[in-house]
Amino acid sequence: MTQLNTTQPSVYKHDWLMRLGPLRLRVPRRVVMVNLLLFIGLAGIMLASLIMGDFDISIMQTVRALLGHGERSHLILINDIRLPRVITGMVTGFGLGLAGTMLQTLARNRLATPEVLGINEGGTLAIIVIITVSTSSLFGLWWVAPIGAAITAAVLILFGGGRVGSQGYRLLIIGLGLTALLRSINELIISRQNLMHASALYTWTLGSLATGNEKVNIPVSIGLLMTLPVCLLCTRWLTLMRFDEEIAIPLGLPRRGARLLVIGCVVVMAGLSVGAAGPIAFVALAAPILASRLLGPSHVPMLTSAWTGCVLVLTADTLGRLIAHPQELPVGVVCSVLGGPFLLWVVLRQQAN
Amino acid sequence: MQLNVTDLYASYTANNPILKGVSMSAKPGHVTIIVGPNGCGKSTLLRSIARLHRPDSGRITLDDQDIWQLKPRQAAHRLSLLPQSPVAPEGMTVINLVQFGRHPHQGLFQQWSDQDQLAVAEALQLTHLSDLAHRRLDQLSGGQRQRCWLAMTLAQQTPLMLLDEPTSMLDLGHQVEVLNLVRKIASAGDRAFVIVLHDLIAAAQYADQLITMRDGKIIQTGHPRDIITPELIKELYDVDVRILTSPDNLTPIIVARQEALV
Repeated sequence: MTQLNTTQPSVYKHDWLMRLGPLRLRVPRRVVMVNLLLFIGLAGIMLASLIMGDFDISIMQTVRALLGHGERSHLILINDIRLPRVITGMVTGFGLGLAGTMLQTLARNRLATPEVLGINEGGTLAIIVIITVSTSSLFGLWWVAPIGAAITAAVLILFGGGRVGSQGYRLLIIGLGLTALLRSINELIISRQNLMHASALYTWTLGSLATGNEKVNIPVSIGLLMTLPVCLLCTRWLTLMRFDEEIAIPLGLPRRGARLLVIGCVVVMAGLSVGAAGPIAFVALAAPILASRLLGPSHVPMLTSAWTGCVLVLTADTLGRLIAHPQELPVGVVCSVLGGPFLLWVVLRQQAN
Repeated sequence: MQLNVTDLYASYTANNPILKGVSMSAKPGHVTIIVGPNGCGKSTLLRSIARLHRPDSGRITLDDQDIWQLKPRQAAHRLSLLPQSPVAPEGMTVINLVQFGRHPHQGLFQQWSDQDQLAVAEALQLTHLSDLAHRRLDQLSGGQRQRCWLAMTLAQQTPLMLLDEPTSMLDLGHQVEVLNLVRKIASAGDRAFVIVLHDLIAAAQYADQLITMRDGKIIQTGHPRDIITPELIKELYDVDVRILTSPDNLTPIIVARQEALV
């Protein structure tokens, strides 16, 4: 039996309180509203992403094709070409949004994201190395990225001495150095390839959904879905991590264990995203910030940030296909272009505080 | 819940011990106040009890249970800490903050209970914050904000409460208010308080047990009336003082001696 109890005094005035058998759940109204709006926006951008492109197709034809009806050419266009691409975008955005919010909260710094700390770059390097060594194609290698990401994270922890530093600056500085180092290795390897190979690799290191297909989407989605419950279990710890240790530890935060588990989740989430679409910039930075603005200061946005990540990636990809028509810009390029001003805004705002 | 500290050694860098064999205890219903000059180790002692700093040797027990062997959550049910000048995440409201005191009592599927609600409401009432409950912390004065943090630790409802300089940011009126509140809660009988204070006069007035420290060691322990002498203060702070007596309750009042102007 679900019993909505809205008559409680002012302590929980912004929440719905639910009793479900032995469970006592608090559902903040704002979270519900924001997520509803995000879902509507996400559905809209998904549909737009399916409809827009080289070949014109109407909304009705798209929906019919999704349900398995209509002309054969429509079926192929929607279900075999555009839908896998949209799903790759969703998966990537979801992973980056969640990894970004977790890492930012852990480091207590908005600039600490998987791309800034070198975790994405480590995943990229792993894939590039395997490709050049084994001359295999990009498609089957999604699983290599999380391994590269994990090694990078281990190095990060090792050099950081397991400490985050005040406002995460220790972690940030080490991460920035690591990113620069890994990126230069990546570029070095690419520059040694023949032109055809190099240009394909280069496009991929920018982040692109063009390679999205089911062979990648299915295992990556399964990986994300399996990690998601662990991430959600970390939410209670993450809300404590926003305080100084002097507050968080007496409130019951297991310092080491929580930190390791959160970093583990970040590695898997960010690594799988990189494996699916290459290291897309800016999403892991922007999604948590936008989600926090929507939810207000009392929540660590988890799923909200993940959905925001999906919306950002799909929007950027759709824009990339429209701006330079009939050519298309890789999603990573669009994100970088939008991300520059956004990063500047974040830094200036952080300074103002 | 009885707190016992036995022969505690602690250091931040090797070969430079901050605590050199400290033993003390604190009883439910009693206010224990630790005083001493800067750098005497009183904050380190508090941090060791709060599990923020692992001591090199010695034992800290709550009812004969070693606190360093408790799980983080178990420990959070037994002791709470109000640290010096705490900082809250941007944009939080009073009620947001005070609810965090209930965090160790909640779980993934137990996100609120009637007891949580009561504890929060009670903590707000005791600290006179009920009317400010939905105001943002950054819009409050330093004194009001300090009361919010106190309310958070009160809402945690632990048998042992550790307060590190709880009055350092407050004016006289609010100092008295906070310490009176502590006295009132302690006299209810089931909570033990361990407080680090700078203010000797307040310490002498409010302590059931005064612990004086210098250079990582305890110099004297006892009721302020029994132990405060000019010699003790000289030993602690290297100043000459006179001890007066409060006309209200005969607690000692310490005044620095003035050199006669010739």
